Amino acid sequence: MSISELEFLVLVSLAAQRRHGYGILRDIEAISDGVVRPQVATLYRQLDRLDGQGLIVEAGGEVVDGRFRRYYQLTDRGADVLDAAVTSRSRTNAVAKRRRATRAAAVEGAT
Amino acid sequence: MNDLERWYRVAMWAYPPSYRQAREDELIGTLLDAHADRRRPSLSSLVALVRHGVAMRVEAMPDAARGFALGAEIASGVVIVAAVSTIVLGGRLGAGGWPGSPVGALWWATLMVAVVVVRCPHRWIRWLGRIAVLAWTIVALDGGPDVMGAYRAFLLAVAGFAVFASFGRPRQWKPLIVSAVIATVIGLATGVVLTWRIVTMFSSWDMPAPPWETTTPWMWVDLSPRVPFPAMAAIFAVFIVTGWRSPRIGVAAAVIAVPTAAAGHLLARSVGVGIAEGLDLVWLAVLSTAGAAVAVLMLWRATRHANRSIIIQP
Repeated sequence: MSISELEFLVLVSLAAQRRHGYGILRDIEAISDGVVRPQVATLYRQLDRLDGQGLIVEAGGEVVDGRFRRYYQLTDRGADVLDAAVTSRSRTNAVAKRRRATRAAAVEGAT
Repeated sequence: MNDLERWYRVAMWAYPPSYRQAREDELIGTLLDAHADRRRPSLSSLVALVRHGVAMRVEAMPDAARGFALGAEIASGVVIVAAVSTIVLGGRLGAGGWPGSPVGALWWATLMVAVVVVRCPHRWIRWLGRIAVLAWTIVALDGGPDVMGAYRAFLLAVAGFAVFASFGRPRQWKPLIVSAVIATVIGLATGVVLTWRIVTMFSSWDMPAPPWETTTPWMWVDLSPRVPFPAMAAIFAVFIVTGWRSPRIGVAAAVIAVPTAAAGHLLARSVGVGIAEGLDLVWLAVLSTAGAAVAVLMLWRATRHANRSIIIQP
């Protein structure tokens, strides 16, 4: 099953621990070096999707400063999908690196 | 509640209420956390909220789509009755051959029969219905004063959609929605054309003679079964009231009531029922606006349940 970049980042951010919506938001920003900054509504759309596919699950809630926070955590199925995505991405990365190296060598050879 | 929160809560009206009930507080909390430095919300965050809310409503559409199908079936019932009564009783359109009240009565009395016919589980009866729609198409295309062109085009759009809808199965709702949207666009476009023609006609028209005393060719006397305006209003009202409880019927109501009300009003004018001369355009505008508002409202309500129920115990 293929997942989008944002879904991938959400799964990554939940890989080690449960987080609430805002926590996921900040974590995604951190692990993507500030490149990915989804809107809250967009994030929740992804959360709903992942929840619907059984990749994440709600894991309790609490009220902080009068604001309700709900936590999410990875399911076993979600962990499997994350593993598969990581494998597939590292394969693509390896191919990209290899080709890049080939091109660099060719360019060097030409000069 | 500060301004920021108020804005976000308003934007969340776009979401289906069932979703809001389950998720609003959580979403608002996250929004306030994420935008703690702001006093006013950014446009993009509001747009995202509305976009995703509407998207959720669209996902909740199948039931509304069945409402479209139901409305189209009923509309096609009207079309079939019109075709049958045209062929059997009235001669072809444009010959001015419509008798007065008998056909008008038949129109509305047999409407319910036609609905049964179109909804009939027997395949061959439904086929007869489709053939009748085709017959109506041919009749409607044949001759008649030019002013009725737009109205015919509208009927054709309804008829085409009805034929399409009669093939639909409950699960195949996407093509149904697409065709409904297309039919609506065509209908609206022809409505604009029709209104424009009426406007230009009125401006070049010196002194109106009562329509029942004139043979002025441009009038819709050729399409004037004596429409019982009160009966139509009653049907309209019943649909709206029941539609309030059942989204499906509500959407069906919107599909049939809006064009019927507008057309009925135009037809009523030709036999001098109800409304004073010259007020037609005002009434048409009011009816169309009200109809469109009702349609939108019905659709909004029809999508009030999020597709996947999200039940959470905090």
